[in-house]
Amino acid sequence: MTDEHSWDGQWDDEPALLEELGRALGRDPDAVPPPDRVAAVRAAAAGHDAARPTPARAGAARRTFLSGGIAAGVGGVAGYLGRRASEPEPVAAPTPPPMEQVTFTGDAEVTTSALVNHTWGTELLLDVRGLTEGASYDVVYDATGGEVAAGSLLAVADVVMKCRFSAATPRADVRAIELRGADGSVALRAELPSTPAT
Amino acid sequence: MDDETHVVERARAGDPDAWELLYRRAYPQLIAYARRRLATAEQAEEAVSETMVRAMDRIGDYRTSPTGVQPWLFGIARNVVLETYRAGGRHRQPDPTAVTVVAPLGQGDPVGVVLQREERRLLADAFSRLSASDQDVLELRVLAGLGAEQVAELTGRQPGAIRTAQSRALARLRVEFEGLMA
Repeated sequence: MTDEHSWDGQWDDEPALLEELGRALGRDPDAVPPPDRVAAVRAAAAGHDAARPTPARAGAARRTFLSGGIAAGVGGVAGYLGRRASEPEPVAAPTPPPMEQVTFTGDAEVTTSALVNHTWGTELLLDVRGLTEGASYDVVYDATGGEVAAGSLLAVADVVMKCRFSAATPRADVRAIELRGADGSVALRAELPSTPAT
Repeated sequence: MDDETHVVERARAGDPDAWELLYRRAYPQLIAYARRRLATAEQAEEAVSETMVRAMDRIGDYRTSPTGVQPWLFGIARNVVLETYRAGGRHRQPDPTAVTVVAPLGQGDPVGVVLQREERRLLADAFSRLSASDQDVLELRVLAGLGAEQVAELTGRQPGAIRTAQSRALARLRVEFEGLMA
């Protein structure tokens, strides 16, 4: 291909390649949100200002605006606003625990990794592949006061292993996470930013 | 006070116009990222809406940053997408053919349009062959539209390390693409 669209010519320029990659992956810089969702966002913002509910309750109310009622469009949102005063107070939806992304380095391929900061401790969500088949690995939190075992796994070949590990260690005390082989060698390691105690 | 700071201040006060503006500005990046990661268009729309809900809940905690509000919103979106993914909303590897259809093609002669579509398909295919970390660092750049400083703020890494990672990922993308073109 040698015309104006060609790889050899146009995409030697890095910004052009990035732009083309974005479009190849589905990015449309001119994308606009559906009108009913715009209306719902506006209604949720307005509701927040007028009623000044507590955060948890505000979130529950906004989710009503933005999910279940949204198919009805603007009329549905207005209808909800009209009913709200005469209906029982909604039960606040549980606030999900804070979650943060984690970046592991090492030999295996990590497709998803995140930490959940529970009140009872710290949970690691880890999707990983490429570990040595049949080998066992320990997950260890490097925490204030020493290391804490968070679980283990037995590696399987050619699949993404979707794992959850946890330990009763507050997130604020965890400084790093390692996935170690039986001989103590480190297969994966993530350094964690410090966070304030909750 | 620049435009974005002014918009954020109005959003803090619950101004619907400000929230609509934040939503519209962030939408192209957020929906592209969510669409890549989730199974259906509806799940992606829900994820973006949920991102705005959480942003409303947390706008009081947002601290003005030189990199702007975009990384903050995108950080929320990543968590929302991950939770949806955990709850069963995942499906992919994305179908590169399907995403090419989503991306608008430029106007021009029919042959050029066909070639452009084919190149995009191959480019998406080459991208799918990259490691997860390479894909992630490039997605943050090209889908989220985040610069190196913004990605660094989001991921807790140094901007220089981000630039290096992106450059290497792009080099590997070129190799994969050239292999497909050969």
